[in-house]
Amino acid sequence: MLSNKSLLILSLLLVATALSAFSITDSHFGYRYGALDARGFAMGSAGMYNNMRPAGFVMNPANLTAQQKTVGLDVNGLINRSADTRMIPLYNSFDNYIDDAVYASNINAFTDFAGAGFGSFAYEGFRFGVGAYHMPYSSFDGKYREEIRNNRNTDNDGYPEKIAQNDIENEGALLKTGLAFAVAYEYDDYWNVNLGFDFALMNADVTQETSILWTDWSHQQVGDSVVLPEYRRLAKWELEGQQYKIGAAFRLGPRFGLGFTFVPKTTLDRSGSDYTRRDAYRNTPMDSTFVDLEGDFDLPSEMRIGLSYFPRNIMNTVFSMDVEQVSFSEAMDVFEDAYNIYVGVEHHVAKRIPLRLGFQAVNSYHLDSQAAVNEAGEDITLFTANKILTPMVTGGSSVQIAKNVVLDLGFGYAWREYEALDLFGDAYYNDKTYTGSGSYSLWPTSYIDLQNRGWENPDKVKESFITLNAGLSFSW
Amino acid sequence: MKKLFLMLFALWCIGFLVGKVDLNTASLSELKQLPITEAQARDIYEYRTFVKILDNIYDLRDISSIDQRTLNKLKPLVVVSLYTQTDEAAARREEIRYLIERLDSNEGASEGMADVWQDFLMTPQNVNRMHFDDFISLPNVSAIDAVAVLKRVARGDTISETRDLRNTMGISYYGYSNLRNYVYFREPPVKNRLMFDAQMQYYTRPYEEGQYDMLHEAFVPKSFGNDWVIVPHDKRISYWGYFNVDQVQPDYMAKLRMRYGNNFKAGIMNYSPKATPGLLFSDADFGSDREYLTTTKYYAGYENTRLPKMGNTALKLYLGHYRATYGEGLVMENTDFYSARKTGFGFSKRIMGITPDLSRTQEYALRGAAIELKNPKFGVSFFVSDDEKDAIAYVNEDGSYVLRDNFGNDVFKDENGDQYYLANGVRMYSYEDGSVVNADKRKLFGYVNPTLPYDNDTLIEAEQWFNETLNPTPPPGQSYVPFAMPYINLATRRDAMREKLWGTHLQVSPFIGTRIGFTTYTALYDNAHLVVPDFNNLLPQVLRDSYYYTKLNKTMNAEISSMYSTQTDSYSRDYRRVIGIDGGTVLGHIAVQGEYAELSVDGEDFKLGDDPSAWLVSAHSQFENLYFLTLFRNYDVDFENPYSNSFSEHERFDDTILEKNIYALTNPALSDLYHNSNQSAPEKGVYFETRYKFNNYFTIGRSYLDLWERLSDGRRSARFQSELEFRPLYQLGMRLRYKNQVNRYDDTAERGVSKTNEYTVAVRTFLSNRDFLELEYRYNTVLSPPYTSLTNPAQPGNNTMAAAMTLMTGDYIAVNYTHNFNDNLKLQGSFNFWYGHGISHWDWEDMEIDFMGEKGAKAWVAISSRISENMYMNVKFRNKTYQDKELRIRQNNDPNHSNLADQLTYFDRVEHSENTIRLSLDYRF
Repeated sequence: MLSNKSLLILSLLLVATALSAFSITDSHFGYRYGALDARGFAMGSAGMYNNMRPAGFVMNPANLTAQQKTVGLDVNGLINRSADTRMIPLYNSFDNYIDDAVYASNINAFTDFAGAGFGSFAYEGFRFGVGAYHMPYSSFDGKYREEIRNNRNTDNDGYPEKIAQNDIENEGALLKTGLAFAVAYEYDDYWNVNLGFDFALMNADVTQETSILWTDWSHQQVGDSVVLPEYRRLAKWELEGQQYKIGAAFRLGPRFGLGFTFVPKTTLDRSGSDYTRRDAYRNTPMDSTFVDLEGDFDLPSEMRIGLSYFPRNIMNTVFSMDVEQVSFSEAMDVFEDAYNIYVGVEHHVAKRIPLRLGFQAVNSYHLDSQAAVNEAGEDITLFTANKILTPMVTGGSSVQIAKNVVLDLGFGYAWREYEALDLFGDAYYNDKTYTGSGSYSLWPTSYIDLQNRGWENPDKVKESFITLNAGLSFSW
Repeated sequence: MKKLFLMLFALWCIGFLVGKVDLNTASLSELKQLPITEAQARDIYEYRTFVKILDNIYDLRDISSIDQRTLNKLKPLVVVSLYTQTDEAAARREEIRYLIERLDSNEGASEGMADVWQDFLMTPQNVNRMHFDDFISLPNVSAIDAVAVLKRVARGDTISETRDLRNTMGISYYGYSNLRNYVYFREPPVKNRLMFDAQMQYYTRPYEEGQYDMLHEAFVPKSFGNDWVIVPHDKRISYWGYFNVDQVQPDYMAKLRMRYGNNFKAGIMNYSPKATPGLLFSDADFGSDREYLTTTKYYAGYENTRLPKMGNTALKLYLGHYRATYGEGLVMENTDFYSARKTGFGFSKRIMGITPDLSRTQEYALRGAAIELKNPKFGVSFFVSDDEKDAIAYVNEDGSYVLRDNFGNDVFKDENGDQYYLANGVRMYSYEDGSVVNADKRKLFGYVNPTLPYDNDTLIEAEQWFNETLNPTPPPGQSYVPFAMPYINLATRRDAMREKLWGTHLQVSPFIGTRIGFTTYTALYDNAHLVVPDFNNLLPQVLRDSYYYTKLNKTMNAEISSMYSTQTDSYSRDYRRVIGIDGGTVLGHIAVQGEYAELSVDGEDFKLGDDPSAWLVSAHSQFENLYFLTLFRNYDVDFENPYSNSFSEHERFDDTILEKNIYALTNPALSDLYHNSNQSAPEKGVYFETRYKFNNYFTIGRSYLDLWERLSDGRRSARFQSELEFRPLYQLGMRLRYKNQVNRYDDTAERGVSKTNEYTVAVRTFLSNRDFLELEYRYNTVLSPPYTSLTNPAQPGNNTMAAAMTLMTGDYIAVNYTHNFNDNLKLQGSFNFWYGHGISHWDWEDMEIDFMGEKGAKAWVAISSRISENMYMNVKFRNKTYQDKELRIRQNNDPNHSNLADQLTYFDRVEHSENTIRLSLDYRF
């Protein structure tokens, strides 16, 4: 019988996926966007000092005046192809763990857009600027489908029956709409100091649905008199708050630009609810929970420093590199601070046709939860924090469409591998729980032992992200 | 009058030019004074600053905002001065950049030597003052070349320029063409100045196949086949699952070298391999007592090639990490990395003497002080090192070290902490003379270079977990001792052994090119005894099940049981000592050299001939388009010297249980002794190598024949490889290569017999701008005795077929392409597909070798970008997708076996897919 405790575990596992983006088990903080503009994206999101594109000030408000332009507009859109592959351990006849067997593979596409604009004016050696932007800070989009099938007839090349279908469908994004102010003092050609301040309103409207639905075949197998309980979860919640950022950018002669930003810890208000419901079955009543999701939601402080180098090179080259410290530990004790690296280079291989290459290594956290019992015999929830490294290689180019109007294109490929607990525990599909019978109706192999897998055999998750980014910018 | 006229003319010219703006030197504000817009002035300034110095005024037309009218307007108002590189270091760097790139591409194989060679490229040595060892330490410079130059200099002649060097009697073309880059003649190209070389590398490398298998081996309580055993399907009973090493984890390396000319040198390097915290963390942050500096290498040194008042005497003095290499590497050549067929010739070189060390070598790194003094007649060096080394240790159930007293007893602690040893199963707390048992030395098995460099606390925690699976609760109604080895008895321990090492090398050169040397080192182990069981007692210590004691009783395991012990039945000591003599001479076109080394065991320490020994003699003859190398070697099985790195076909422990039977080891991590072995296997054999260039069309590439006997089991093998290069046109080249290896050719009835043939054909086209396209096809066969996984049909449980020999075939196809966009941007890429039925292929990528088993496909692309004169960036991305033999093993499984009751046995598919990214940045200034 599926106990309430099992259901609790299942629910908790599902709740752990509540903050996700592009990937249904992404970390506590979601899938963070890198650079907003396609050029910066192609440069591995290294853009602490970016005097090339109007949207550079979104990453560092001091870049607003560092560009030394009067007006700038930038519109960007992206499409992301996300592949999520889940595997379980495979053992050979010596009972050695030899590799992984894929049991679910989901490929989805998501889109987002962003825009930025600014104006500035120079007064003697000073320049003052103000800009506004709208961008997704992180995405909560994610889709996942898993089919539960038995293995009947597979020896004879038959098609195994589908028993149930599990779905996760998440929608929403944490959006950021901000104003940036910057002031610059230029004391010589290619020598200037820029200071910037960014104030942004953030809000998210997120819907997350999870369901376990039995197929008609399953219902027919167990008969009309037996209820196979379906499971649904609907979480709707909102985030609201504001974020501040200070930045500085220095042009140190023709060759070097330095940039720095600091974002203090940001606390957003969270409100909403999380409703889960499992149907009644046999002699077990319906189980439902309603949780108010009121409270604070913390985003960690970030400190980032970057360098741009403008050498003399026949290909008119720019090299940029950023290092970022994210104080994850401020958000939760189980997290440790992490360092991220962003590197990019731009070469003009042919006249006015740049080739951009970039690399970034970004750490994020995946949080898994498990029901457990403490020494006092009380039910507790154990959280396991797993730091995940996501390397990404990027590339891109530009086309000048008209004077002062440039179309940038960026491409990125990222991947990661990590372990996570099974999203839908196998015990739920044990029809003996629902029929009360001593034998399976849905599973032809009598020796199958449907139990939830814990950390002894977690899922191996392989994800890859292909992102295409295009941006149109105008500066004058 | 004529002079006066010329002077007036010059003054007129200067006056004429003074009024003009020099586009290559004018400031932006000066450019703005020209009759052009401010934006155009800025464009000119930025072109000059960010693109290139103008060669002539017509370069302005490359700027989009400058049209012909503007150019015509500017012509009378501007000049373009001739630009020359005034920074001699930058000029030198430009001159040698291709050579440095080539060295970088070999860095993977040379492990640190490229640093030394790069320094000599940048600040060459004076060819007229170099010593014999200086010459032969350079790539592709032979002893014959060295003697040719030295003899000429000794006659009082001074080599004054490159062409002069070429005219040296007896020097080969290869020797000359390589040597010329590393030497100067009159004035050094770069005067003494401070120079820096900073490097950073980020690399998400996958584990090599052997290491991958080792980490996957589960700690299981007993061999398959015992009915009561149900092994838990728990991923965490292997290192792989326990540590979740699937997760993408990078290697980080950061290195900074600085030097003042060739005199003062200093450097620091931190290498954080996969599974370690990374550059910005010390292990201490993760609860370990290992300090940051223990994983950092550093040195500071002083070199002077001509000491004052001491003639042509050179001094080297180093503090920190250094390398020491002498003779043929039999006594001392400290490196963690094994390289097959390291002849010491061509590119397979040794750098003689003391050199600073920032390589990735950790286990056999020398840390301390070293001094070297040498002149053309005499040389002496002395080195000391004090470092803690990782080891395989005998451990108790709680993970603590088994202790060892000086009488050869294993010492344990009881519940009260009192020490005792066991005599016939009885605890003895005191010796016969009444003294209390008091052992303070750890009982260790041997040095190891661990694949998983976790700290000891983490390793012990994992072992405790594995031990639980070794001692499962017996099923109800049964009682048994489930396991021949009730807990992990041997395990990796970091910094287990404090090694204090001293050594010396003396050399006399009575004639040019003739030298006799003596090398010795002694490694003191204050806190440990190395104890390796003899052949008859080895297997119960390293194998987990008595079933395997007979099954795996292989004679080649003598390589393991012959490892050096500081305690045996005949002696007890706290050191290892190796002595050796080396020498060589050059007779005309022939150079003969060799080394003899002995490990002190039962014999007298400084008496030769009474201990396990190793020797190597080679003769190298060299002509304009041809060379021959003949090399004899003979290494005793019990010559186990971790600081040796001499020529051999295989590394130590190849084919032993440490390589082939990981599943039976008490701890799969013991296999690291093989995987990360740096020593040569005990071999006796003769090796011939040649290369001959017939003409510009035909060349027989490096070809060799090796006939050798593995001394641990007497297996005789032959290996032959030859390649023919045909280049009918400059743009087109073809290469045919054939390789043949026969193992156990002396006894075809033996189980170890195998015959391998490999055929390769490659076609290369050399396109314009040094672009390059190559197609390569390889076909190989291996004939060997049958293995059930290869010969039995894939039906479950079907294991009944009689089989004779098995012929395995494999093939490989590759397309390699290099495209140079220009001098500063290069793209290399390759696509490979391979199939190997029990065969592995190898592929030399941009700067590393990749081994590929079974079947799969691979594509990689590497982009080398020269960002500025001083800065290089290299990004490589690789995807490798392959299936491995586990698929077939699975097909041979019996899913209905009673032992697998209640276990899932059906899975969809098995496939590995690896993405690898490597980013390196190099900044030299």
